[in-house]
Amino acid sequence: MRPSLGLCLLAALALPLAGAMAQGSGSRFNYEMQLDGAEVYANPVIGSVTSSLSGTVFGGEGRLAFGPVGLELGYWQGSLNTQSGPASNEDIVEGKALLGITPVRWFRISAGPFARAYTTPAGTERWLSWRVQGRVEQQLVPETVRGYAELWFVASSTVNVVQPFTSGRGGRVGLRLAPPRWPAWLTLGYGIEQVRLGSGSRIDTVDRVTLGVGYSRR
Amino acid sequence: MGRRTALWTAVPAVAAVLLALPARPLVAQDENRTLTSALQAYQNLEYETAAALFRRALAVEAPSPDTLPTALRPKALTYLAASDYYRGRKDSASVVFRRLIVQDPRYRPDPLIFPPEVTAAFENARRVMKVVAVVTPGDTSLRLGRDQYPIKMYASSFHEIVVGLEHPDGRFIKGIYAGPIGDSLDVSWDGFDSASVPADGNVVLTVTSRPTAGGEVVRVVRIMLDIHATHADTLPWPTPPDTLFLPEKAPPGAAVRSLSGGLLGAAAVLLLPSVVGSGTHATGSRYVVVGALSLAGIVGFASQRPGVPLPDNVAKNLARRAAFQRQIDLTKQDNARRRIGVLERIRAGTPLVISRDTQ
Repeated sequence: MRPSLGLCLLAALALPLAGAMAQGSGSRFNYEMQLDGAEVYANPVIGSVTSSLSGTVFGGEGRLAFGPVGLELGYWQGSLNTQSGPASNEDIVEGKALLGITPVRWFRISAGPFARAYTTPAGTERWLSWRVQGRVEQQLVPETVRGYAELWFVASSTVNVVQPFTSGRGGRVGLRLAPPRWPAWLTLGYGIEQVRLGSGSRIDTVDRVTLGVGYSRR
Repeated sequence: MGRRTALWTAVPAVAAVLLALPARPLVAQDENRTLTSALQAYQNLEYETAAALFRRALAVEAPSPDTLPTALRPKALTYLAASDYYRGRKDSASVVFRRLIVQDPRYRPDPLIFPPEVTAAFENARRVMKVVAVVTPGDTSLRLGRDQYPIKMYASSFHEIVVGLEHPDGRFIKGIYAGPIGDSLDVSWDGFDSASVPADGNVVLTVTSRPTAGGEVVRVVRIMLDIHATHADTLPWPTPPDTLFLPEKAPPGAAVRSLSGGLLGAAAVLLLPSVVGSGTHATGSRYVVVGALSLAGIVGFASQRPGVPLPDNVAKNLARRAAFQRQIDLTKQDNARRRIGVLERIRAGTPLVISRDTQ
């Protein structure tokens, strides 16, 4: 699979824009960006048939914030290979755009669309979900390590398959290692999401372990 | 008929008003006429008459309507000296010239009006006279450390002077200048005494004239300076940033929060598949995250045990203390400037001349 063209374009546009805004807006403007890779495991269950796929996706996410209001953007893509079951290999592309607000330093709530596409030789399956999520942060090691936890539920979803959307939820927990003298930080996290279609006739579960490196304006 | 009657009644009234006018302008005019007559007599080479008339015009010195205006006195004195000179009374002319020089050391007879022998006689008198006219601002204010009090001096001839300040009882305060003076000299005073203390109260500015350095004092000009010093308010000390200091030792609670945060995060990773993806076999890679979160919690607990020094907070507090100390230093410097930033109002009195000269 080719490196993510969209991600490169996003980074190329976001970096100079963020720098210019940071200079012009003073300390109220903040931004952070992260490049990461994730080991992804997908377990689609259709009826009683279970498949298992795994693979690696690469991408990144970032956040632009002006005061308490922020916009989170993310993009990933990769390939999943069949481990078991009838599912065939597929390419996966994901993206998100969440608008959030941080009322207190340790808590943020955000909402927005999350899109995912599975491309197989048989066709492309497109998911567009609307996600509402909350995030809490806690300092674990002073000035060095912060932990975070996110929980979200899928308010609605549009999928180009026959089963209608029933419910969806997910979570992500991880930590960020950011010693004061480091110019960048490292992040490690685990996330999982499950979406049910057709009153449980189809259950799609995707979990992943993510390792990334990022930079934020401090 | 009525109009004629009114006219005849107005005439006595006008006459009465004219008679009631004060006689002083007429007397002053008479004095000017005395000077005019004296000048006329001088022009007619009637030097005896001219000298008498000039003396009469100059006789009245006390302030009165009969006094010759100050601007005309040097002119009258010069003509009187010239009249005496041409009467053959050169000593008398010299005395008049000295009197003229004492009154105005900068005055010079007009060589277009007076012949060379008269101007030469004046120069001879001027050369032996050691007179200084001192000009100071009548009423002025000084910002100490910034402004200077100007003292202008005009000398009749080259000699030595000493400029200084003393108390009214004669006690020395400060020397300002000692040295020669030619035609004129500008000196200044910074407003401090010899101990660099702002002067306050009554101070006497003295200018002592000597023919030569270390010679006999021939003349002293004393000017009383009435000085009123006001000090600027100093700034209050900066407020100590006690409330901004961070704890330098770990308080109880932070360690537990870190440990519980890490362990809860680890537990959340373990439980997420069950809570979110029920019936799903989650990846085993998540145990790496479980371990990392647990380790972070333990490290956080260890690094924040109650009583453990917090180097970051210590460093921040040091920086804040240093910033506070810089504020203190700046305030000290500012207050030191304000303490010496005295505004002195100086009023100069009338010069008092003590002279050995015959005037």
